[in-house]
Amino acid sequence: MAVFFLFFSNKEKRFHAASHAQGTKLSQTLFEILKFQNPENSDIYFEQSVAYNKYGYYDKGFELLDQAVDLNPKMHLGYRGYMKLRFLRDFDGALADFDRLDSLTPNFNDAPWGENIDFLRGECHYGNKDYAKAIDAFQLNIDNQESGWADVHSFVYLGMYEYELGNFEKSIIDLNNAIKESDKTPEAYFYLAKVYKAMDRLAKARQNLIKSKELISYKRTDPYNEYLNEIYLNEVMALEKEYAE
Amino acid sequence: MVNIVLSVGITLWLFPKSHMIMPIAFDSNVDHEELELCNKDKILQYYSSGTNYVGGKRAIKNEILPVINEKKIEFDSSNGYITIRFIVNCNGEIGLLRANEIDDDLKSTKYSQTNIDELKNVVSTLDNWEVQNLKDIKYDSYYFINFKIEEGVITDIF
Repeated sequence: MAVFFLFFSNKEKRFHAASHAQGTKLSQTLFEILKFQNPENSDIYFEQSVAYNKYGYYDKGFELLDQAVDLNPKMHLGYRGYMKLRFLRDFDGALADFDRLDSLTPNFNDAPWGENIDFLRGECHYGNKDYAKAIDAFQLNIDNQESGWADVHSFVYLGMYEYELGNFEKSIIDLNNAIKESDKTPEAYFYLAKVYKAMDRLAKARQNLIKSKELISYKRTDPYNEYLNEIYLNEVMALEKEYAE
Repeated sequence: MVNIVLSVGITLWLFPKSHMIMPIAFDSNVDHEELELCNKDKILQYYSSGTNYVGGKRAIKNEILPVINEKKIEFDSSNGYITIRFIVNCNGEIGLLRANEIDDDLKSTKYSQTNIDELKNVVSTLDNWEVQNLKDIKYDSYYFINFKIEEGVITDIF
């Protein structure tokens, strides 16, 4: 019965079983058998890679993901770019994947793993400290998209870059735009506090920190990775102490 | 008779397959000391258990990057990543550290073992872990930390 299932049962059933048992040795065995029987099926390589990358074994994970991309670039480049950005902070690697995907899909606004490609490129440029390119990418994201989750953090990132560049008034506009999109954005209040401190407006700085602290449970967070613009309660509290003096 | 032998054989072959890939267990060749586990048959992944460092990855970076820089733990002029994976037991103690090393092309590579060991020693000093109660039970968890190397220097920890 087991032998029948492993080798001869319907391949979709086996694929779903393997995906469901993600991270187990059985799952990997099922994927190996499925690959042997269906070597051109890129989804098998993609699905098999997931556990390795989630466990931090990126050589094995990306070896499989690279095979998936080779077999079907349009299908898997976005995900690979996403993984390079979020799991490895390999900003140049991710940008290369996003740019290639974009060139393969000329009239389509890609969404690697559900996030807008310009937003993700913006994060890559932020990681590279290439603020001018980051600003362009996030602005493009805002211009292209209707209101949505990514837009909030496009405004937050814009606000952060303008702050880094010393454009405090522009930064305040961007961060307030984030709050207009969603008032439960503790990151916006946190960076507003920093901007106001830089402008010597301590009272406003402290007000914004309090707001950030109140809303901290709404912060942008991911079970697998730290976001590049992630904030932490202890950081908010440390700034509160610093600005109190 | 053949059926029974076949069934038993396949079951014995199949059972360990329910185990997770890339397990870590005490190895006297590699580990200086054992780590007491609450349940060696159920070690969760970090994202399932919610086990984390207090203050998250940022706190880990703030705590150990200065130490790494002070000790000048460097890797020639390489570019790549080192991932240190280990177990956080149910009591918030860590051990059984393992290093996975990749280059800029995300391919497996080997950095200096001395430097890897030094890095592991620094990671071992992290002692502010938070283990969640999952229906009144605390579990052992796998956790890992990534180190980005640029021209030999560790530039990011996440």
